[in-house]
Amino acid sequence: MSIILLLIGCSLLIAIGFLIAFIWSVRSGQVEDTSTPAYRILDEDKPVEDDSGEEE
Amino acid sequence: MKQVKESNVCFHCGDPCGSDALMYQEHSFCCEGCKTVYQLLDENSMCRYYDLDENAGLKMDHPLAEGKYAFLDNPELSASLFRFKKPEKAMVQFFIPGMHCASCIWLIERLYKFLPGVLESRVNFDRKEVAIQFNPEEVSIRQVVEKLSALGYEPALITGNEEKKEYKSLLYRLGVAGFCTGNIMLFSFPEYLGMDPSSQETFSPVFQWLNLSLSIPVVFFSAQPFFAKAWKGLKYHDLNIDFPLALGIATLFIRSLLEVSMHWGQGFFDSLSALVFFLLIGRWLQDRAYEAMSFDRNFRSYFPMAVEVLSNDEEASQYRAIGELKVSERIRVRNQELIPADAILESGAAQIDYSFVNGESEIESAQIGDVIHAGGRQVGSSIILQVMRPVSESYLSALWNQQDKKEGSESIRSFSDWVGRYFTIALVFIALATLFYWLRIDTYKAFHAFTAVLIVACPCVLVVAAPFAFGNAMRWLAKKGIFLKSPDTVERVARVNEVVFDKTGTLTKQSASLEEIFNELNREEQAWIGGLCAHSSHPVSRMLHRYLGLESQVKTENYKEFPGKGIEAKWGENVWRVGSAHWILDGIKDEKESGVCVSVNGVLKARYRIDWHFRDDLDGLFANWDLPRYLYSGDRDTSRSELLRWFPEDHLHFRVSPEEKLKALRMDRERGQYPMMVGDGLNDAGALKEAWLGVSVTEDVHAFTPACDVIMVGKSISELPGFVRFCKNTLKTVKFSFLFSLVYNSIWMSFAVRGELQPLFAALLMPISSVTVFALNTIGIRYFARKERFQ
Repeated sequence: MSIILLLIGCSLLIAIGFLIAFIWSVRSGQVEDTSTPAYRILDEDKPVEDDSGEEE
Repeated sequence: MKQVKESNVCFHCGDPCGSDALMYQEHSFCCEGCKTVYQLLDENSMCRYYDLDENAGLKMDHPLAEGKYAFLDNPELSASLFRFKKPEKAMVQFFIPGMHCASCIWLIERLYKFLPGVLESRVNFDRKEVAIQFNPEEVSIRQVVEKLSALGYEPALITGNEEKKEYKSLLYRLGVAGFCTGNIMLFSFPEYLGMDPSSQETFSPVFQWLNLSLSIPVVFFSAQPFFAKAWKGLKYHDLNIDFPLALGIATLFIRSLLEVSMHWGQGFFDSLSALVFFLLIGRWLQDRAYEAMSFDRNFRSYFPMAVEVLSNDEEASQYRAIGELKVSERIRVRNQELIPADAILESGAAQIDYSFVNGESEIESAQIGDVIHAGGRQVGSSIILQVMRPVSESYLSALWNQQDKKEGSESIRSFSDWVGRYFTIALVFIALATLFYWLRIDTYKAFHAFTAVLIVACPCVLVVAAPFAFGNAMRWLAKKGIFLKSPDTVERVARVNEVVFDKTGTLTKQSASLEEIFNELNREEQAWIGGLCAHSSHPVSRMLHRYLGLESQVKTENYKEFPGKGIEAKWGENVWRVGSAHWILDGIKDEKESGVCVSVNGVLKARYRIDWHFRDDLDGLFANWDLPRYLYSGDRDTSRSELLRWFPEDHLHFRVSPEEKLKALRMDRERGQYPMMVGDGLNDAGALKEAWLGVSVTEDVHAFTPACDVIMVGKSISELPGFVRFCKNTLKTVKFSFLFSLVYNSIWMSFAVRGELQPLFAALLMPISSVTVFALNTIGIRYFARKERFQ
């Protein structure tokens, strides 16, 4: 039964990994603006030609 | 891009063009400004803008004044706008009030196509902000601002307000609390479900110590704001709503700590961390609601940031921030610029449009030596003024500063705060009484009962219930085009007991119609006048042009436009004028002066009245509404007879200045009334602030952001009675759920006081009460919203 102790330790480690991922995402500003990307994704599809042509 | 649209609608902004549409590349445009933006987009092959969202464009009826942003070339003045500035890269952030759809985002984020040197522009749609990175060696901040304005997205330049950042720490706290709560719950299951005695002995201590260590970050990191705020309240001798929470959290933690270390039991770690987690979720939702609704911008954002100050010899001039403007300095104000401070006219033809301040549609002319008030907008050529009073003491600022009063001494103590405070006092008293009673009998039981009382009666539901219910109500109202400034506004609305209306723009529509008073023109002359009016872009000229609807073949000669007065042209030997009565009749005052006149060689030939139409659904609005209502209008009493249908005779007041409105509202307040002011926009700003509740009626919720408590879409005005009823019912629902949880809590408290409540049982009771209260609120509010047909 004491194998459970090991499993608990593993599960905690994994959970801490997710917590760190969450903190990283907040820190890098991913949750700063949640609505604009929803609009932005609609734009990128169509005008591939004129976007790439003029930029560089 | 080749999409066929309704031909009579402006291709850019979607407004109806009438018969006088400007044609360009098979598209019709309502005005020169809209056409220009289209041309600009077309040249840069950016016309996809029009595909993303219908009627994406913003109406460009106020052409950008030349040199309006010249002051941005002065590094001292523009410095405050930069987020950071290095030689090769700089970043600025603007608030763009006009941003409203996917097309706007698409266009603004492609600013680099219009302006080489712009590296990146990123839009935050919720805040209507854009962060622009550019190379200051290639392009100046002035060019960036001017290009944005030319596209129709004129930014509001606001300097030095650095808030936020706090939401990030809230998210960290929320994340940690969520992590710990989930794990603690897992480790608590075995205790709840039971284990066989042998494994109980091995595992119980492990789980308990794990829970204890996981709860430490919850209490000391996640719950820290509650402790901080409670402590702050205590320092000012005020039991705020965070105090009972902090007390509850502290009690739960200390008791659990003792239970585990003394081997009394398993503690309350799951309840404790779940409580903190849900509290933080509530707070986060509340913050997000506030952010979406934060439409209250400082009035200074409507003012210019800098003015052109002339030196004594009039040769040199420099731009200076308006805050640094000194008395007796001389300033130049150009076409379409706002007068920043009360000043005396020194030279130039002053045509001041005061609609910003008092809502009057007419343009006033001023003589040299006259005082011109801050907030007026110069129309026409530039004028030179001598500053009379500093900006902060001007009439408009004085009006605006009324707001401080309402927020400060007079503010209501919110209902939930009130309950929270008395409930806490009662709770602490009962808990202490229990403690002292049992101390004489059984020390262990005394402590046990004391904490049980605090836990079972934890007022967390009371704290969260009201904001939750009000936030819910806000969502329903938003569906109907009614936007509240904050959840607490619901409480304010519920207490309203009289209504004050403004007329123009509130009860009337924003557009007007023309009516003939007398007309001695023959058909040919009418046609010629109609053609003459087509030359001018003034709204009244265009209205007259549409009204006459004819086009003459006879050419106009010597066409001249007098800003703020009218237009003049020659037909053969005769000089014709079309313009304001004041100008045509050469200053003879009479009662119907808001009309437009036509004269030939100084002889009056025709006259038209301009009528502002009432909204369609006013009968529905006033039909069954029993609140006393008043009307305060800045206009003349031309529509008195119509208004008598809805208002008692002695409740109608005309020609009321903004200050008088404000005084009237203040008197009502002093009589103990709770007046709701329904007005439009900035010219009623003072009154909206002074009223118990300021409701601003507007056609475009996003474009106009005055200071008030509620913003309402014009067509929803007939919902006003339903809106007040709904808020009253919401408050009733909240009160009922409070009563419910009070009764529920007192029942269990009676057990707790007697020391008969098992810890496990107490931990289960708490969430049940919370869930019931939330359900009660949700269902109740949904029921009342359905009843008012807020669908």
